[in-house]
Amino acid sequence: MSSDLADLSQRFLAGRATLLAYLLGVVRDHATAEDLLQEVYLALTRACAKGEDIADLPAWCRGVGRNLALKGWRSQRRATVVVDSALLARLDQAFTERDAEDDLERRRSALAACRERLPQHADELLRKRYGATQPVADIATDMGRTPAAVMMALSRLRRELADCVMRRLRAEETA
Amino acid sequence: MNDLHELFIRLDADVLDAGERFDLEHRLADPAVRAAWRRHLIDSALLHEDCTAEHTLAAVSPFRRQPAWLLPLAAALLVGVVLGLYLLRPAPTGPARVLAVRGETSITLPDGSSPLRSEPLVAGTRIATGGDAELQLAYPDGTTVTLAADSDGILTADQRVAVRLGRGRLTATVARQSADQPALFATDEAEATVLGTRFTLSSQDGATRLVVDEGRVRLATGDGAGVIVGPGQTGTARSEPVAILFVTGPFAEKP
Repeated sequence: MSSDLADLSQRFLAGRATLLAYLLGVVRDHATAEDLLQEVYLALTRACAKGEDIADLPAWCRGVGRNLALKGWRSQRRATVVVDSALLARLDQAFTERDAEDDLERRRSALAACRERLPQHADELLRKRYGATQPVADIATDMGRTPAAVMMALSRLRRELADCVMRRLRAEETA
Repeated sequence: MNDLHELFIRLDADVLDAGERFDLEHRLADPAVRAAWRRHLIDSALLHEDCTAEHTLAAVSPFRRQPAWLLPLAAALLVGVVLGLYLLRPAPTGPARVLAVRGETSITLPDGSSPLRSEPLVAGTRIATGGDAELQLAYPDGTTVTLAADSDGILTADQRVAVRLGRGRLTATVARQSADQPALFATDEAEATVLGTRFTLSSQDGATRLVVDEGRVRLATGDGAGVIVGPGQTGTARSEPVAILFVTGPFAEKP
């Protein structure tokens, strides 16, 4: 029993960032996604204690996370994000399809290397949005800019990072 | 047509208008666009984890208020020390992170601040739970430590599993550890050395009890006396009024 839980826990942690990414896609809020991640792990420990057979752990975790998010929205009788079933279906599809560029540790290293090349103000913007998880409107106020300008800067930054990561990963593959 | 990354950023911020939403849904029929969305979200999660980890390092760095000229020297020394420790370490695990919280709990970093969500917990982090509360930590190697209600402890290392239980009870499922660097669980009366097992450790009224479900744990007192506690056995250590260390249960082994 416990060895199964140890193994599942290890695999859960190894895929943690991917699950967090999926949950971010569902709820679009870092704090809520983190809460859901914890809830999913608790559900995993309970399922393990019951001896439930979990053949596809990532799919199981995504399913539990999505259901918890939907249940939370229903119980609160409000939705900070309008539940869009078409987008949710596409999100599920996106995370069922995987490819070589999804190797988390390689991607994390490439992303860190690409971030090092960013000017300080650009990295500061990333820290505010993804480290401190500040809403765009708050960042705009801090920086004395409009929310639209902040979103434009973030879009440009994320596109540059995505291109840089892709170039690095492909260069590694051909080396 | 909108730039894809701009659509993703606007979707994240929940400010897509109906036209943009329609455009995005239409484009997501393309597997390449779905892959781009997936990678965008994965990068968001990685940035979140890495930025919060950097926040922790910055918070505990002793160099942050020093003159700027010290930084290159400090960085070089730090890199040397870290590299040396890295090369000498016997396959350590990484720092713990909070996996789940129920009820009233507190987590305090060595500088007195509370960690951000998913932040790695550095050595010296204090953890505590109130009545009906529970706090679950996880290490990268799959080890989990659950602090029960009305308990407190401190993480005594961050590159290995090491917890000092001050009061109350904890349950741990410990992944296989390096023999050179076992997981350590200490109380005021004793220290449990673990190579991979599941057990419950409690400390109350001057006595430590160790109940082992699986594997074997060495329970030792400060004077060096130790016993091996096996599956189904209970080890008890008490320092006052007289030092006591014994094992009960089936197939008790000698130290």
